[in-house]
Amino acid sequence: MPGKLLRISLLSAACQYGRSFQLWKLGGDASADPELSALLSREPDDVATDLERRFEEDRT
Amino acid sequence: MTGRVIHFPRQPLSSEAGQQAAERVLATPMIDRYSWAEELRLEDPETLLSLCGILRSQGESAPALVRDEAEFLYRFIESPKREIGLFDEREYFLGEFALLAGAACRQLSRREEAYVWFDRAEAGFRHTINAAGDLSRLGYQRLAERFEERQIDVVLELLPSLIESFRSLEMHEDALKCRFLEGLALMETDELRAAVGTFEEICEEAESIGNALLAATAYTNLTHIHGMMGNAEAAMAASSKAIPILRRLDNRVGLAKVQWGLAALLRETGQLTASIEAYRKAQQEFEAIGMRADIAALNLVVADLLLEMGRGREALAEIGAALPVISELKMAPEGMAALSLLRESARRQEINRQALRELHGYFEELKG
Repeated sequence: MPGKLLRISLLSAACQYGRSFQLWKLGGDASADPELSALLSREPDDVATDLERRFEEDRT
Repeated sequence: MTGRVIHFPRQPLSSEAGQQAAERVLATPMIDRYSWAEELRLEDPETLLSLCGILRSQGESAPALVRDEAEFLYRFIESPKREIGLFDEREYFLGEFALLAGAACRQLSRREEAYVWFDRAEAGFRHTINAAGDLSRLGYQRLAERFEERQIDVVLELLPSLIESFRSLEMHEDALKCRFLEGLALMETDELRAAVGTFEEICEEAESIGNALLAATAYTNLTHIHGMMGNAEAAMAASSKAIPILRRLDNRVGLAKVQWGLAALLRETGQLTASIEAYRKAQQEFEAIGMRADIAALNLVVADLLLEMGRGREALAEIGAALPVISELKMAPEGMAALSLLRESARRQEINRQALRELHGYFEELKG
């Protein structure tokens, strides 16, 4: 499997875990931080793809 | 809500609730904590994180208490094996409480115990996913311990690598802390002017990043160096900057060290009786926080002053008070050699002043 796909899979798993953890911490309440709320409303896979794109930009 | 959500087993505490839980834990006698662990939320990462913060802030005001509390918490997590958090939290907290216990033992001159705690801290941190920063903090404590054993060459060899680690991890305050060891090494090698320059730079940088504790500690060292050089005005100026911050932070170790620096100044300017009184005050401060090695060191310094004033009998009593403590704390080889000479001379009631000076000189160089 190409390295890029492995990286996206890893980032996707990390985003899913991180998002679940934040939702768990909030216990069903909305976050007071609008940026966090916006991030939590997104699909973890989309966030992972965005992150990978930013990492790629940093590398180049 | 889109996307799969992983379900975690129980509702966590908020950071504020964790802080309150930590305060309840500390207010509960240790003997009751095992049976009340559930009510106290003692296995919750937020509680443990707050406990780390509280104990870290008390390291310089109550090292004996920090040592005991950190040991309790380490043992509580370690056995029986408890599930803490979701990932590597258990290993992190084992490392953190062991590091806190080790650092407190270092303050208390319980060196062998400190090394064992540092090994335990390494064992914990090694199993965490992001170990580099925590292992670097542990590296600092180990180097500080080596400094206190006068292994200056080892410290100077390894310090640049540690500073580099902190800088690459963007742990700028920890990198700055390393510069204290650099300044203290200059004191050790009698390069007092260079040491002044180093500590002045540390003060400036600490103030620029808003770290009051590091600034106050650097001013404390400046008080001492200027005192040793007999620079009354500079010593007083440095102490006047250190004392208000140390009082505000209840940093009793720092306050005792400022007192020690002022006593050195009085001695250097020929005010021997006032100097003895100032050393006594520093001893009282150290006694209140259980720093027995520093009390013994000051007994020797006072003995030397008493000899200078022709009060040999009182000097012997001072030495007699210090010897058992120094012996118990197992000093490094050169300290032990001076100790043997001094013990023998005390037995004969004829003080070997060179041995006395070597031994208290040894102590003198340890503080900072």
